[in-house]
Amino acid sequence: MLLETLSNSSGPSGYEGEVRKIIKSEITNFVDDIVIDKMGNIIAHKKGKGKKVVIDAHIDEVGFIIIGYNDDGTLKFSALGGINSKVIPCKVILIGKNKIPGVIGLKPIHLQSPEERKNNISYENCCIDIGAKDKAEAKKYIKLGDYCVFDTKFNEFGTGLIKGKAFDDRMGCAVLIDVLKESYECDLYGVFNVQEEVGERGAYASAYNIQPDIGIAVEGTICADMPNIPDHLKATEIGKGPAISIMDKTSLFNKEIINEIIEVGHKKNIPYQFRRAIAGGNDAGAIHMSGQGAKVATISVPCRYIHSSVSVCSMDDYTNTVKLLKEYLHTI
Amino acid sequence: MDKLFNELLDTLSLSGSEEYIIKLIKKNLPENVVNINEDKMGNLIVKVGQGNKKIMICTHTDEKGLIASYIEKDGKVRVEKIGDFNNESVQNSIVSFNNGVKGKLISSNNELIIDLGMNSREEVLKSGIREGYVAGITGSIVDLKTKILGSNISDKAGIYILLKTIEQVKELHGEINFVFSTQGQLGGRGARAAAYSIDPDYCIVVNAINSNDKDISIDKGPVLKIMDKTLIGNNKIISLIESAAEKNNINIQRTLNRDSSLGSFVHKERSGIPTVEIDVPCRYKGSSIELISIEDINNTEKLIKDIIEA
Repeated sequence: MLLETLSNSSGPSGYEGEVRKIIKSEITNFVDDIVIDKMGNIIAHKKGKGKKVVIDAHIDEVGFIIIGYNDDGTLKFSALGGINSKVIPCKVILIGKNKIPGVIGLKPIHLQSPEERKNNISYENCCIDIGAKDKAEAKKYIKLGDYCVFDTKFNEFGTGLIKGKAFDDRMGCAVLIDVLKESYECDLYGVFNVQEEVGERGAYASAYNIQPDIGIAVEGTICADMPNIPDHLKATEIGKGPAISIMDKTSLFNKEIINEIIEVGHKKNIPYQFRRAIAGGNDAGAIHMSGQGAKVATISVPCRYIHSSVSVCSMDDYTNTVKLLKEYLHTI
Repeated sequence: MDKLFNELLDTLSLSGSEEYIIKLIKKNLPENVVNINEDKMGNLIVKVGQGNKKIMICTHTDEKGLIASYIEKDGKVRVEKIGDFNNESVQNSIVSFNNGVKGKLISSNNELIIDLGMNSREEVLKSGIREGYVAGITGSIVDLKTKILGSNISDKAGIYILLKTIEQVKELHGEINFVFSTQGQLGGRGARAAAYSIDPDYCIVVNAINSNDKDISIDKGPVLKIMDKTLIGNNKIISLIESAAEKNNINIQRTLNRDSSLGSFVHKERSGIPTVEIDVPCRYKGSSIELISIEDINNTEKLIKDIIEA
């Protein structure tokens, strides 16, 4: 399954090569023209006579990078993108092209002082253990700057749910790939951007070169539908359909486009919900802050536990997101 | 109070919904002004004059606002802020959505909620309000003869000043682009796009600044913002402004602070654009009742006109 391949592949911010290759081969036969630009973004063009539209997904996932060695053979590391230090201890990660397994280790609780137990875990207090006996051995296998991703295998579970890593934003990539397989009247650019997680860096460049009229980001977004959370803080909920964003830290979304998407949802009987949070940001922010600007919107697949080792989505939400986006593009 | 200013204050213009005020602005442009354009970000760009110099005079058209993020079962509307202001300064105001539905803004536990007087989510939806809809602070506009009280004066003063300048300015030695920009409350997102398209030799942004009557007072003239958190005013343009002020006997105040400027993205656009901010002092800026001096507005307009005609 495409989603499975994408989720399992390694591509943290700045090291998107493996994922880029997969996506490029998937879309080659369905687009008129593919360019990999200077930042490493994939810009796929389906020529059309109508408005210039960018549909954007980002290829990178959050991960880690090796920044040093400890004398005992363990490694010092930092995050690529935002990963809360609370979710990192005791996770298995895979390092570099060779996917060398390591474990993120933390001082055991019975050795922590009362203050330490109260304090938050920090990256400085953690290490990556690859089983090397000393620094010299570690250096044999691991270089400074080697990237790491969580070692999580994609799986279907429960009733119609899927779990895996990097749903933010392999969900968006899968949706976009699916969307590119049909034909539309508008002048469509399917853009797979790099380095979104470290500040939408790829998107500024690709948007600048295209100068679209409309930009729509497709994301895997926050979903906090847990039992002890009040409704208004849930942001989105699993099973309630693709989430339409109203505003976030980097964009105020275009109300006309939002209305048009809602109308498509009603007409074609596709469920949708609103993303109720204004936290976070995405490539749409970069798209309208580049060149002449653009009217922007964001549609997302609700994903529980993003920016951790494993996320959860509903297959129905995924399918409905594809449907909603395709049908909306047919109206432009 | 000028009828035009009253109309501007009376027109709800929220970020992302600036089309109503843009329409009003277009209606009030002099007849001989023909080079009028709206761009992808909804900015209104009015071009007058020709010559070697290319100048951008820019303000924003949106007022501080609230966006509905969630509608509770009991009909209360939770909102988030669009703009830089405190919950305390706007709580207990009357607010209005674009479709005219009004309510009271309540601050509870650091969260802002609008009470529309409705009893259920369904009733709210039926009234035409849903998540994503934006509301602004409404309230009386009070004419104090030499001063004006109102809820969104600081966000409309720039529009009035630019309109008056377009009307009055005569001797043009260059191409002047007057930009009525969108999403100013969000850091000048519209202004950036306009700056990219115009690529001027320099840009002056016109806004309002809080007057605490210590370092900035009302009735003491336009404020030259030397520097803030996001923009260091260009030295050459500052000199230009200061000599225009001196030549024309306009008293100006000077300040440095930690605010964000409408020009923050403008000066980084293209190969860099020399940018400076000139502000009208405004008491209680960001609150539901602001106070401004008509004389300060007039002097700011005079200063801009003198700079352009220099």
